[in-house]
Amino acid sequence: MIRHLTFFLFLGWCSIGCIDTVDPDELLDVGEKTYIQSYLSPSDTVITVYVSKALPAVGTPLSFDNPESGFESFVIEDAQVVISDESENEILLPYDTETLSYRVDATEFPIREEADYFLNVSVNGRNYSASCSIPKKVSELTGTFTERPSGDGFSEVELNVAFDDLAGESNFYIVGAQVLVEQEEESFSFPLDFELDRFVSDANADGLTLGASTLYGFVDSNQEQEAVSLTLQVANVGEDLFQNLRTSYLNDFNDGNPFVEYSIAPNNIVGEDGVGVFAGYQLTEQEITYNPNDI
Amino acid sequence: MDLNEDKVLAVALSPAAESLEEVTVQADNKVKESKVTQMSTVRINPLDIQDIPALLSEKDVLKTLQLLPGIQGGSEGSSGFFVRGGTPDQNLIILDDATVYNSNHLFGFFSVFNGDAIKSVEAFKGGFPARFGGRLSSVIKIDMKDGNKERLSGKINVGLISSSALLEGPINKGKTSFIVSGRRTYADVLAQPFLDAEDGSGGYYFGDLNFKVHHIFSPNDKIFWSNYFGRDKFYSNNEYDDGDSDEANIIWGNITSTLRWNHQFNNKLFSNTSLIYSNYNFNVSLEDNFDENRFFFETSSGIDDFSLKTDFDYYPNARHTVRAGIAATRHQFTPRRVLLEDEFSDNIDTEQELNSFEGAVYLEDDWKVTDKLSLSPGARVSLFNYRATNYLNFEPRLAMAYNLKPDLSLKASYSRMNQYIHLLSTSGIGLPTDLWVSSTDRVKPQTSQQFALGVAKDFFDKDYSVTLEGYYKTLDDVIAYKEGASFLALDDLESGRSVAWEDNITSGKGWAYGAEILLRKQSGPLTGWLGYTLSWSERQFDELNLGRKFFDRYDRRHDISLVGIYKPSDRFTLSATWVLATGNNYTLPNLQRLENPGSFPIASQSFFGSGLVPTEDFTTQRNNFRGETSHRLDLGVQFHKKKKKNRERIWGLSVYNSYARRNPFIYTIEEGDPVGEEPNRTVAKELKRVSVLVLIPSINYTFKF
Repeated sequence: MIRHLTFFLFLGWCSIGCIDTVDPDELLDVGEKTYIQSYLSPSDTVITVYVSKALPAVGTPLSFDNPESGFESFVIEDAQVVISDESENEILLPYDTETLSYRVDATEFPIREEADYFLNVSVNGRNYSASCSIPKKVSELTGTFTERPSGDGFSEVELNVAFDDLAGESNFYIVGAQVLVEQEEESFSFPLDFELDRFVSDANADGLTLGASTLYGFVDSNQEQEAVSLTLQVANVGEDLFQNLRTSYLNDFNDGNPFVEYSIAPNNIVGEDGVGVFAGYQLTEQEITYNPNDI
Repeated sequence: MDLNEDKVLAVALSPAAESLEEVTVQADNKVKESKVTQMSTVRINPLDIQDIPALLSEKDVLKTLQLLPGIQGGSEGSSGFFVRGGTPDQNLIILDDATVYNSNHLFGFFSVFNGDAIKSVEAFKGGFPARFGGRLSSVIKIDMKDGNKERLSGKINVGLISSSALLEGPINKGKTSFIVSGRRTYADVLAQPFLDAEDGSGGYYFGDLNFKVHHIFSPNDKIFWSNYFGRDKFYSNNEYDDGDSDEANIIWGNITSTLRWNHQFNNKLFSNTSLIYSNYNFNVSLEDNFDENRFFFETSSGIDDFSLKTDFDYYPNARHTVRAGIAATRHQFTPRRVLLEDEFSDNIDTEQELNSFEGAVYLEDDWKVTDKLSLSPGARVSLFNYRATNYLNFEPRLAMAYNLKPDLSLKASYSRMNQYIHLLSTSGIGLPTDLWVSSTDRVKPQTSQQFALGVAKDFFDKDYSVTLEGYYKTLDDVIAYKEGASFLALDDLESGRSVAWEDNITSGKGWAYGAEILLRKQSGPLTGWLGYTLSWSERQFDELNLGRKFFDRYDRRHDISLVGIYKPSDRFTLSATWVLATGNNYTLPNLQRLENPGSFPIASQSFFGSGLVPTEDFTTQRNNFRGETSHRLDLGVQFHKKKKKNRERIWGLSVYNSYARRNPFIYTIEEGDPVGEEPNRTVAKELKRVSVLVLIPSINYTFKF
């Protein structure tokens, strides 16, 4: 018994690794930075700029018992945030304590298609700047449903959203859809998840029809189904915005997978220790109706 | 006797006794670097491999190579290696002319080469002769022993986790010989008594088998047939009381076979013609039987090579050694095969197959221009065909050496290399999941150019040698996975979609430069070497790191190896190695920010954890984190006892990482424990270092006969 136990412990000693906590100071850049994010679009009713701290991922103590105080560690309430256009019109965005952002009503500073905009932020004597262009809008969206039998009388329904690429330039798109559920007392909507397919670009397909597909759901082929309203969504976005969303998605999806390299977040903020994205987009939405009985 | 043509005459001598004065024989078979045109080359004596202390006493060719400057190991304990800023797939490893695609057992902790069966090891890091091609960074040429044609001999080695046996001898004395060696781990057998029978059976093992036959038809014709078979297997089988069962297997391994005919036309012209087969296969299978329903999943990938090559060696005069040859290889790749059988959905059976052809012709000359100046010009033309796509490339090679003094030479070299097959690896540590793929119409061949300059000095009276080399290498069309992609992300199993691997990779450029110094002592009771490498390795991909240049993962700035083997008598061998290497580069999120819900109108399902404060970790720079410096000391001692009839018994003791340095294997970021008292407790993320192989003693027993 003792011999067996000794042997087992010896094998375990050989194979099990040691895990130690390491001081990251000299190994990892642990300096604090200023995080700035703003997406401009003519379709928005409010212009929003998020200015907060990007704290070191390692070693930053956050409250365990009181999450609100944890938020406060990141918040910057005294920044000066100004957006201007090519004609040097500018507007100062005040801080909003409810949304922890700097915002102003879009009617005060309309955002126009194909126009250039500039962002200037001052925090504790440090200045940051960025610029972006508002892309063109995709004209028309098409949604098609495809059913495939999945067994036991049910059918798997796939939704494909298609649109024509804007030819002559590099374009980046985000695809989505909202399903509207109408009930007696209230209505609500929920998004369909296109997963990684939601990120579409026109590389090697300039001017062609692009699209993305997702699983809509399962329907009972033996029963009458009610028609459902959906809103198809395609946003033509700046490349930095596209990469920012895609990076967040990939890192979250692959969290814990040792075989996948960490994705790198884009940064178009100019200024020492400034990180983030200032970009424009155009949203196209189209309502359609899905009637399972017609397929 | 008329001597008007080459004749073979057998002369029989009658034995007679004669008394001679004492004769002193001084044998010197060590390579004098100052006398050789070839630079950036290292030859390892297989006997040194037996003497150098090794992890769990598993003497390893590739681990020994990692102790040489310019050849760096990857992760702690891994036998994967990186030569002058290259990646593991850029190393051509050939065993008796056959390419070995995956040279790793147990995720790289051991290599597939059984040191007992090896005759010679030659490593080229640069200045590649024209007879080698197909890889960018190195050629590791390993030749097996031919077998003893005079007497039967062998060796048995028993170690902590594996045992090996070797037997060689004559089949037809003086004409035909064989050598066979095998090795198997028995960790799975040893573990069985400790596993509860109710938990089912499971375990891991690896095994190797080398077999070679060598036959001499005549002084002008010889033939050998050399074979290698190796397997790794993880397995788990469970049967439950209710009749359910599950079974899982992960199997990978190589097979190589070389049939080579050596022919001597005359005393100036020789040829070697080889027929070669090489295979690598990786297979995962899972089977669940649950409530009389069966689920079966199998995925596999592999490569089969069929090659024919002929090489000619021509010695027209004392100043020229001319080599020429032609080679042709048919590659059959199966990067992915998926089989899925499930009662609840349609069966899936998909297979990707890529067939291609790779050929080359070459010509080189080792030319002694004057007594001081030697040149080795060469040229290689390589062709690669995949379906309708052809790649034809010219690869010039040049090496030169100038003897400033008889024991001091200046050397320089240039080589251009092309690589038509690639390894998709997300880890770089030699996992069996790494995929070999071919160049296609969308994926161009990788190319490199390397310039090297060096000095070689021999101290003849002391048998020391010093070489100092600097190199600069550029790499084009090197490939890497796109961000967020890996082999595990390639398939959507539920829908049976198979994403083309070409859509998940991107190509870019690389630069590697540095200097190496090697001080070596090759004879006497104390032998060994001191090697130092100073190097940089950078990459740039348009689709990675936002198009910015970044340091490669295995960009290790400093690398030091000190190896000593001391034999005070023929009864003891003491050995030690000390290695130091600055850290690898990793991509770790160094910043965190608040999530910003509602900032974009198209919502996605968020995977973010509910976290007390919803934050998102991120980084804006690839390979932004350089790990800590690794160093360790390995010690070994062998006790030899010679017995009658050429028998020898050896007991070996060794300690790997003898001062228990916790060298980094991987780093992770994890949430720590709350600190403080309620209601003011705080929690912070911590950087964790995982170390393996800390203070590993071992013992082994060897019996030679």
